[in-house]
Amino acid sequence: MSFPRDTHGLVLCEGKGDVAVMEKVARSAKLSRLRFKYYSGKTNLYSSLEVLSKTAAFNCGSLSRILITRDADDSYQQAWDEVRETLQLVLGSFPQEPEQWHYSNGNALPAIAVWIAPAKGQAGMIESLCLEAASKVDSSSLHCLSLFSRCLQQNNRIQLHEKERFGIWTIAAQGASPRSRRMSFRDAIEQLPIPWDDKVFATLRSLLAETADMQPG
Amino acid sequence: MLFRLALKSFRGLRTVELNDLKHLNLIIGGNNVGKTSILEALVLLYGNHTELSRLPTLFRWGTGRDDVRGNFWPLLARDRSFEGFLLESADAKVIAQRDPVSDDGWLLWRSHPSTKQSQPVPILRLDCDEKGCLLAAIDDVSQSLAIITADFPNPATTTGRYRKLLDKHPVRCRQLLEILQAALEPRTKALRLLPSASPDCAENLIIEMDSGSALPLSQMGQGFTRCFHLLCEILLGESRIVLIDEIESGLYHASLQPLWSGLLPLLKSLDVQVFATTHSLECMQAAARADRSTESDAVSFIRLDRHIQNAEHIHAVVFSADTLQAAADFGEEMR
Repeated sequence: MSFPRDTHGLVLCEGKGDVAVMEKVARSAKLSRLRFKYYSGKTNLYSSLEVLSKTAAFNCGSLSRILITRDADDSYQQAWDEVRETLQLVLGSFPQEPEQWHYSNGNALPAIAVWIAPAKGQAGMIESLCLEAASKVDSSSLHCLSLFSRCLQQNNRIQLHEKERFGIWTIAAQGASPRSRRMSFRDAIEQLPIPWDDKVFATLRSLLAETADMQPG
Repeated sequence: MLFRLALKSFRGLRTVELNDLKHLNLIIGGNNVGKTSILEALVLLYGNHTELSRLPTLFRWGTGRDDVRGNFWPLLARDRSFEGFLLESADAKVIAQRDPVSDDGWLLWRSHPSTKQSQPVPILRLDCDEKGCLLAAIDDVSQSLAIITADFPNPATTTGRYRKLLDKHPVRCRQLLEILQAALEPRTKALRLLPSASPDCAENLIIEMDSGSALPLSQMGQGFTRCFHLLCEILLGESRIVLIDEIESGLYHASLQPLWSGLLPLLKSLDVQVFATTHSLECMQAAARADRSTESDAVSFIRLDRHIQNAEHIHAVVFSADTLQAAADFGEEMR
């Protein structure tokens, strides 16, 4: 008699907010067998991976895949280079390209892939992707935000950071609410209209499905 | 000190390499994964004649009967068709291979390159009827082991070890008392040996309490006696390596950290190395806390993991006390 052995995939995110986004996308795609953890900022990826590589789950095969996510910020290439170097230092190997699975040690260890937000080759962050998705269902708020950003840039030479743009959108997106206040990223993810099944999340959804070793629902 | 230990085709272990070994090495892992095999490998590498002859029943059930021994020796090799096995540290090597002369049994060779026993000598022959036969020339080993099994030690033996400690290193008896007070019995005031015609009788070692009462060692709890024995072995400093099966056995969880806090500096100063199996997370955490509070950097955890897709594949991971703490912060289980 043989007993089923549970395996799972791990999504290792940069912060708590990223975890909230990944959970929303995974839920919309009806993906299970995923765990989500965060490494508290890009400078802590090394120590988190080092700990992870010493766990029983990593070494005994119950952790089948790891998807590492982070923001591109100003440079997609630099973000990718940093993750790749960290993987080389901790695990001694890394995927050849972002969004590709890397298998090591004859599949005895978890396969690893890296996804960098918002999309391949683009600067930005997870907020950028959320705003792009939100624009599909809340075009008026995004239009206001766009005008406001442009006005600040032209008249005050202020370039709004992506997190600021997202914060302002959270006020606009609350619509007619008399007490609209800027929301935290996690609250916005929970409460504001973002279509998690939108095609802007298609690559991420596909990688999450592969991490869970499932087809997206 | 052993920094590295390699085991190849030994019992259930195909290839296991342990690096970054320290003065206290806690061996963890699931049932039947090979924790005890590491202790047995160390006996084969460093044990004297007595220890080798006791090996079949040291850590495994048995009464010393021939059938138990007959089962033990042939199972040392992972491969039942027997292709041999290899155990290796920086200063010792054991190779088991077919006997080239008779071809109906196998020989176990041992060498200690840094000593006069630099050439391999056969220490055990297993005949075709699979009865192990210890050979000569194994007493010529400079190393020696202290072995504490999961059974509770005979208090009379412990009394003998304390008598020796008092004779050879009376100052260290004070250290023993301090650790006992901190970890196990705060009322302990003094240890006293009674003169007797039978010197190693357990009734002769008296534990004097603050209250004025006095108890012979035989009347103390088994955990106290086992810990007392362990401390005597380490403080005597006769054995470079101490092997302990199920270290936490008989010890209250709150005793573990003061015990490790007392022991770690001693292990470093006396250059004694402990290899101990445990299933207790409390034991691990206490050792890690003691390592940090004493700034010893003297603790390694050795975990054996069985791969869920290939149950024959067992992988060893060695990690530090800092990693154990980081894992707790990261919400990861390290047992």
